[in-house]
Amino acid sequence: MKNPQRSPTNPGSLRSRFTQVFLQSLLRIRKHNPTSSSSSSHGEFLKRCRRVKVAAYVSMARAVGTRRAWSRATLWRARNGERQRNLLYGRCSKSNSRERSLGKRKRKKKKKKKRDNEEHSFGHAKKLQKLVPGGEAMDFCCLLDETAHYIKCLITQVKVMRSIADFYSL
Amino acid sequence: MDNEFFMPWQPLSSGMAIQPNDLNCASKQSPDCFFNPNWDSSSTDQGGHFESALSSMVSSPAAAGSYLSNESVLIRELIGKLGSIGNPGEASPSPHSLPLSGNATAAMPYIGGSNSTNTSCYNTPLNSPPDRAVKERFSSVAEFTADPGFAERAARFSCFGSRSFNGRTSQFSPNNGEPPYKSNPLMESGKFQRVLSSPSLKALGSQAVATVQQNVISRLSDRIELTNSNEESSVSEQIPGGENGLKASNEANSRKRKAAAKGKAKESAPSTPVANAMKVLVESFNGAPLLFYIIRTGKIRKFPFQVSESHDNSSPKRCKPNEDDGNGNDTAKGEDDAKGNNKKNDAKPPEPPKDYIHVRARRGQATDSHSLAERVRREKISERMKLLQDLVPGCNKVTGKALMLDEIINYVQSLQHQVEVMSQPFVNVASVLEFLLLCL
Repeated sequence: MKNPQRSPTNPGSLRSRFTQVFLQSLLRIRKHNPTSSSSSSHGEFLKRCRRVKVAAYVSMARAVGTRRAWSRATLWRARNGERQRNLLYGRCSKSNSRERSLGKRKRKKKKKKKRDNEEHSFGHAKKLQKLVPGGEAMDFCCLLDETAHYIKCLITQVKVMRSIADFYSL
Repeated sequence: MDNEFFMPWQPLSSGMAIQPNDLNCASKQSPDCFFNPNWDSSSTDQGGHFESALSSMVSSPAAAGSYLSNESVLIRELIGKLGSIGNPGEASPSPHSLPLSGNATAAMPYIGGSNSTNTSCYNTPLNSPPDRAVKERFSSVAEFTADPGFAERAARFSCFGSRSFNGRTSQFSPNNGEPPYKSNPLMESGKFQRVLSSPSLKALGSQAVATVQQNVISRLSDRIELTNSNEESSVSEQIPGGENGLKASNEANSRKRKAAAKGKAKESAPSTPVANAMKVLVESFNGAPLLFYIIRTGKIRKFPFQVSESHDNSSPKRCKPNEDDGNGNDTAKGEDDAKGNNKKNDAKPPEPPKDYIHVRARRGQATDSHSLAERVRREKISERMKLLQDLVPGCNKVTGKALMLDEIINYVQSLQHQVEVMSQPFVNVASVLEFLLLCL
């Protein structure tokens, strides 16, 4: 079986990177939420699910890096939430400067506004823009590009998560 | 593709002495090595004789002093040179190798060199060369060398050729009677000059060759003075006609000739046997494609015709890529025409002379920058849609952007939903994860 050898053969691949980051984030969640093992309310369950989901997306974005607009947007969104929380509590984190830069980039993107999309695909483009993180500030051409990469990464993400869950459930 | 053209020309170019180092190399080559032996004064190849004879033919008038007076001498020289083609064993008259290295002075010896040795072999008839390819070429040469009036014509050739280079754009009388007859050789020699110079040009690089050519042409023009305007006109007429025929044979509809526009009557191939023979000769040398290619690249657009201002007007337009023969007449606009023609022509090789964007407008499509940009954008989008089609399963059957976008949106939504579902098992994480992490 070549499955266990897939990651080692290409340690730099997206899949292996994502797997590493995702597992790390899962561990972190587990550390921060020691009550996860105990049975909890449905709300807690949902919260944790959301956290895992966000962790999955963020870890995927980290694995991709900042090359892609959607990964930048995801990271910015995550940081933005964190930053807002920090601001609420009056804390200044190291990531602020980075956030600011990211935010600037994001603001610049948003300033560009929605470019003129293809005439006949206005509605679809808007939908797609909402789906793809950071898609609002892109023209149609770039949007398609980002969508393609996003889909590829989503597929990898789902595969890895499924394989881990399978492994874990065994 | 261009290399194929260049290869046979290699000896030519070397024979032209634009590449002095190539002279020896070319001599090693078999029938194509026309110039080398001649220029090296070692006639080992019949082909070499031929080319050297041609070049000397072209250059000899320049070498002579007052040309009008020495016409007969020139003619004999030219004939001699042509005759030497058929004699493999004979050394070509030209003692010099053509050290055309891109400066005027280099051109000078080239031009002057052929003078002395002209008389030696002008009487020898052209024997069929042993090599078949050479035979073909020489058969045509033999045709016109046998022409009694060829000497006269050949003498006029270079004169007229150089004159035509000077940009005389007077209308041309049709090819009839003696003057056009006489002008044909000149025209052809001019053609030769251009054609022969093309490979060397290509070899040297446009700039160097251009200067060389300019020098040659200028010298020729300076020395050769034609008083007969008819001759000029007929020559220039012949030149485009000949060139047209040449191009038609070699590279169909690739060159736009201003001269063709002027001498519209001569769109068809020249009628005289000499012109035809010369055409065949040039054909066989594959000079036209080479020249055409060089011209096509746009570097040598004004090449070799920058001797004078009037020159520039005529020759660059002559050199510009020609669409179809039918389109070749509209040379008045020059560059714009080339651009427009290039844009309209979907099958023609030359790229449109645009620096910022390399888009070729297809036939029947708008050519303004906006529509071109639009087209580029549309092509990009269609490209990306194709990629998406490969990624998203089930998109192959769907055609059309809207439906495909629908599919893509559905797919992305389903994937995101899957991620959400998959995150549930991880809520209750265990120490197995640490183990997994260690494994990676």
